[in-house]
Amino acid sequence: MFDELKNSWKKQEGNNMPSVEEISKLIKGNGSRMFMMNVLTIFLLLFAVLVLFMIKYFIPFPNPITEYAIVAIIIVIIIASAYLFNLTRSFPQNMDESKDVKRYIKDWIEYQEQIKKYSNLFIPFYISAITIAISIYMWDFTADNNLVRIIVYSLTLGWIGYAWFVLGPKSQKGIDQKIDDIIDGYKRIGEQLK
Amino acid sequence: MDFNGIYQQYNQQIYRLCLGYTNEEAWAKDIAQDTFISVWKNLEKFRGDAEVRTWIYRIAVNNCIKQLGKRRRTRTAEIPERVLEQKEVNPRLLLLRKYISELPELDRLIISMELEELPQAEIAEVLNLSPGNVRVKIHRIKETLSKKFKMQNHV
Repeated sequence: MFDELKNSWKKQEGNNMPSVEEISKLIKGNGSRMFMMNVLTIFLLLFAVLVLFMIKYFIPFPNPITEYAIVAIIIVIIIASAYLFNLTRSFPQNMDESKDVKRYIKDWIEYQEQIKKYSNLFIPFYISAITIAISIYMWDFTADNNLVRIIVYSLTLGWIGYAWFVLGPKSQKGIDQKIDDIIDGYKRIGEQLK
Repeated sequence: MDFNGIYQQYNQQIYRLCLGYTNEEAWAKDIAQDTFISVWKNLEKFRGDAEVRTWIYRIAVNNCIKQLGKRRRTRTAEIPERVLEQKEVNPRLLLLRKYISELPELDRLIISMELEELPQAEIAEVLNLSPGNVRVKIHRIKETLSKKFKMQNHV
């Protein structure tokens, strides 16, 4: 039975397979896309620095120490985001597909575990840093006891609390579940290789 | 080593391996394409420790496994409707593809290579398994597939 099926199997042909020229174009396209992504990342970092300078010079803060604290926190967030972005992007790009299958699976598991670890560290860090920055800002601007400002900032804090205690854990759970499913899949294939 | 020659010789074989893994033509084509992009990038690093074919198949297998982290376009156990519409395709072949898609991931790859008539020693080398292990696995897979065909005949 299988001999007959082997013949049919080998008659299957993929239509419209890309030509060598198209493959070459795709590789060049990938290269230039990577270059553009790097340029874009640098541009966005520079833009963020520009915005920080604009905050510093165009928004009058009652207390200059507050201003420096906010700018410092935002810089830390930007650096952490850029690092995480680079980590998640560069590893799959640099993965050697020709390596031993077991080693390849092990590397992907390690990568996914690393992504999970960083996302678990980064999201609480990000929300904490933003909360501190906004709280410092609000503390300064509510110093004059303006009722409207106090209400607006109370609502903002309420929203941050909701994001921290409800939205954040829910979103993290979803991300963790997705990563765990992928890791389980790799482990399952690894088991099949025994 | 000439990429053009490699591509002409192996692109359909690799496509069929990916088709055995995904049972989805467009997806298989994408994985085959990614495989040859990897081949192109790594060709200079290829030291000739293994046969070119073994090396390419290993890249293809790794690319198939990598799909775990990507979205699934269709459930693998389904035969896409447009395939069913192709009346010239052998219905037993379509059934075979369906039954293969119901196997565990590694078995799908092993049986696809067996159907491509790769020597069992080479399949073992691609997957870094012992030839004896591959022989046993192929025997079990064929048994499973035969049972499925028999059950289909009884329905």
